[in-house]
Amino acid sequence: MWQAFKKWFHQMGSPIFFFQGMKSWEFYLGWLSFLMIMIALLWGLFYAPPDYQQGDSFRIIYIHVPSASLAMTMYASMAIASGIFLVWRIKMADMIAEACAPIGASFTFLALVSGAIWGKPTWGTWWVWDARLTSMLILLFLYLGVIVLRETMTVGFRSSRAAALLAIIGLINLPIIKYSVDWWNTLHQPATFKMTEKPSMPPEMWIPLLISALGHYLWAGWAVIRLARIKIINRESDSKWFAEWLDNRSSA
Amino acid sequence: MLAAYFKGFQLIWMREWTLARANKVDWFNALIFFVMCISILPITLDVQQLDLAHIAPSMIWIVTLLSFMLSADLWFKLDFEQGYLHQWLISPFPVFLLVIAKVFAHWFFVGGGILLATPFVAVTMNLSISEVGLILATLILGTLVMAFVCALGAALTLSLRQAGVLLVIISMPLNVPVIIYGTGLLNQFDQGLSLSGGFLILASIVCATITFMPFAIATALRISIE
Repeated sequence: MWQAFKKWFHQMGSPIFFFQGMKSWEFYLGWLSFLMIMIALLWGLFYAPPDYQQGDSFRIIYIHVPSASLAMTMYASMAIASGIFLVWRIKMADMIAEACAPIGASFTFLALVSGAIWGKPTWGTWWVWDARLTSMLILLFLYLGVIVLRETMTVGFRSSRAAALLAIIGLINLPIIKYSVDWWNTLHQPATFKMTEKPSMPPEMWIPLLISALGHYLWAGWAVIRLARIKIINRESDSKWFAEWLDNRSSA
Repeated sequence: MLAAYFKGFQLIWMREWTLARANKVDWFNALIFFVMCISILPITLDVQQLDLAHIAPSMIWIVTLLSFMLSADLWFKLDFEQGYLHQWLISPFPVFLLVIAKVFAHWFFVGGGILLATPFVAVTMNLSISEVGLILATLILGTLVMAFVCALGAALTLSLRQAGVLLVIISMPLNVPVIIYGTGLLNQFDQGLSLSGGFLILASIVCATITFMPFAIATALRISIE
């Protein structure tokens, strides 16, 4: 079992195997995540009871929490893939890192926007300079730096390595930024705005949230695989195996 | 071994010193930018209503960061174009050591100019002597971190013809902690709180930056040059 997994894992480092082997994964992950998000949203929006303090406005939690969690997970994944690429020079790791960046940035943006929409009815304002919001905003800036650096540099190999280095430095800096923002916030505004302390959620509320989070994670996996496969097409379009694959595809 | 490393450090330092004396424009531009930018800000504000002394420290800090980011664009550029940095990579000295020497030299000239100008700028903002002293003390530490972070941005964007805005985008988020603790100290001073904790945190950020950043900058230089 372990040996088989190890072999599979090593094979996935090669663009050919990834491109062909991940095709079915893409299919199943896509449909599974779609179903789970649909179930979670229908359950959360129509069947979960309204919050006793926030009423129906709390229902945005089913989008907000998964995207906020994924925003950080995707950055970590990007930095880990970048580290693997810098050390072992595995091309596939670079493509994964490249795929993670726009997805993570989108989730960060979505978390900020959904948070703002949620903040308006509950806090009475779109934005507060709260520690969590600010560190999320800076996370978005870090993402943008990595993406822009990669896009601006025209020499492929160099842009990959530069973006990878920046992603890793950003990951090391992230906890420091987080602590500094917390420190700054507690200094300036002592708990004027706090997320309304909810009593422990009833199961009808958190089960759809759990399903939604899982669905979002699967969706992110689907998106990474899909983007990475598109990158493979972009980069390997001159290779022999790709021409053969294209021939088989058109003849079938 | 150690003596040889010290020699390498010294050589780079002497070279930068000579160059900075020859081309005053490089660091003088940053200084002019600093003074101009600081002076233009009060013009946009309603200085009759607003307490200028209240926002002056943050302004000084942010404009300092901007001057560093602007000047950092040129720190490695000329050396890169003339092949001097290629010699770094094949020299017997570890690159991070040369990086430290070079960044320290640029910090000395750009930061030194700004630190000299700060008291004069601060007088126009109704800041008290003790506040000016505190701003200078925090800026000495803060500019060190800014210099290393901006040098990283410069090293990463070295192979680009126009790095300006990209350098800013890269270095700005990485400079957030030092800005928060630096300006936070001044706010603590306003509220009459103890400063030692904040200074220690600032100093530890400086130590961590000087310890780890040279390696990152050296790697970035290798990526840009190879």
